Amino acid sequence: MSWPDLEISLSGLELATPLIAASGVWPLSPGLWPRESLAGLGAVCSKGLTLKPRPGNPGIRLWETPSGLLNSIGLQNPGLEVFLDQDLPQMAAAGRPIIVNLAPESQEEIGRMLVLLAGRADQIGAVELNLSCPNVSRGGMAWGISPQGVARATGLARAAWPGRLWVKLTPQAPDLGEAARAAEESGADVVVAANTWLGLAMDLERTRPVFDRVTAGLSGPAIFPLSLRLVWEAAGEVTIPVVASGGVSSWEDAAAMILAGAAAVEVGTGLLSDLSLPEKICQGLDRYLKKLNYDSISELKGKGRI
Amino acid sequence: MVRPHRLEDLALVEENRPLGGQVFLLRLAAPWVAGRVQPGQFVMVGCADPLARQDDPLLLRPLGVAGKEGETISLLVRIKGRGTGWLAGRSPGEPLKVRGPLGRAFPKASGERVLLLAGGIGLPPLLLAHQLLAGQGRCLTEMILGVPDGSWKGVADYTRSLVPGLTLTSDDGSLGTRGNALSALPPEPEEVWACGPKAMLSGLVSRLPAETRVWVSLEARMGCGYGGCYGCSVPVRGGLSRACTEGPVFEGREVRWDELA
Repeated sequence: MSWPDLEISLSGLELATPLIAASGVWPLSPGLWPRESLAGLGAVCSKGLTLKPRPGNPGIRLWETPSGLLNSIGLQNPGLEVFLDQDLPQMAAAGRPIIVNLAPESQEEIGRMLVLLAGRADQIGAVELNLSCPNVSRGGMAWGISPQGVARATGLARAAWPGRLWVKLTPQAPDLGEAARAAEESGADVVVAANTWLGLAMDLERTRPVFDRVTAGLSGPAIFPLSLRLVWEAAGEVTIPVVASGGVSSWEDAAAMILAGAAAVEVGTGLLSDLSLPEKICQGLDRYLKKLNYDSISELKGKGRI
Repeated sequence: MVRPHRLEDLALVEENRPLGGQVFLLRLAAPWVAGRVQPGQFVMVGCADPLARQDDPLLLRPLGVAGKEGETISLLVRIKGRGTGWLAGRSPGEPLKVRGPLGRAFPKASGERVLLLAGGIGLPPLLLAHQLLAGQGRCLTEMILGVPDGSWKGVADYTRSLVPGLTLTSDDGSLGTRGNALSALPPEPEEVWACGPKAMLSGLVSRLPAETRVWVSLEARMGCGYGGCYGCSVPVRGGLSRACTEGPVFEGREVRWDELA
């Protein structure tokens, strides 16, 4: 199934639909990709990758909350070199642009990781620099919280990577608009707003926090209105495209994000509860555009801003 | 290149029969699962109306497949919380979202005899194993089922109707012989397939001689079921494996039992 009116160009990257599988929910091996999800996706993000392999966090990793999900996976991944050798070639051959999500653990690692991607640009739609993982002690969210941290990390990445650079921001930043502007001014091509919200769950049986790291990232429908507000703020501050991420689980959610200014929309936790979500969103957006007499989804972008 | 089959669709409830012990038998018309499912594999079942928004409960619940007949699969579900409690209230004709079959099945039996060891609600994958191994006629199976108490009589009766030679134990002695499933373990089984509480499984592995083949099916908290989220990682020799993809069936001695949550 194709939806010609949903095609977009995101900083030069052509996508068949404005929907992207968010980092963290999509398998690295295409042999595991659910075909019904792929049908509606314009691109897929890899798991968050670190320079060295990471086992991820011990203890409980998932905790369901009302209309939401707390996770503390902790970036379990095989390491960038194994990914580049074993996973990326297969992923790139599977027919969708691959967004490589990088989660450096130190500033020095930013350049080292991006250098490894040199020569692989044909397999990489974009790099998504993860300045927002709440579940690790180094890197990630610590940089994303301040505009200076965002600027520094983005600048280092920009210097080391000539390809498309997305910067994934954290909702823990006190002013997301400022963080987004810092990313743009330091060379980002796209900002992604945003990631999971820091939360906590208490285990009443064990009388201690559920998660070994105490806090965890909240996602799912519960955070959607918060994410929509962040997208609104980011889109008001930057001229580069904003990709929405956070709690989208219906076509109406996706439409709201685009009306608020998003150029594309990531779906993560929504896939966990419905593998056909991307396709359903495409069908819903397609109907909505027809109802509004728009020829293209790009006409909808930012239409809701007042 | 990608998964060759669709994983998720709507299944219709054909029967929902309470068996006691907070366990109910759910029979679902799910042809795409019934056609391919192997013993040890599982499905994930949505616990909200699939024709409305499914925000709450958000996650599907992993459930071992207990049997298949034509286009129908059987599940045995124990009420544990909100999700399974909602499932317990479903009536014939209602649609449910079902994702599967998922995970790695028990491997082919290598010998002539397989002992199936079930602890409580670990029963479902072993019932399907019994159905298919008995159906092939190539392999002799015996089954031991351990249950907590007399409230599980309906589960025991249902199991016995499918497994005539069942050995039954109960913790309080009210059904079969007193003791847990392990207490009925014969001295030198050739190969064991087991599913049940962690203590039973780790006890089993430590009790068996090193040459006895032992496969265990592990229960895990799960997010996606298709290998994406890594929420269900279990500690095995050499690292972590996803219960939903490399498992839920593992070679018993591969699991690092002392680190298993």
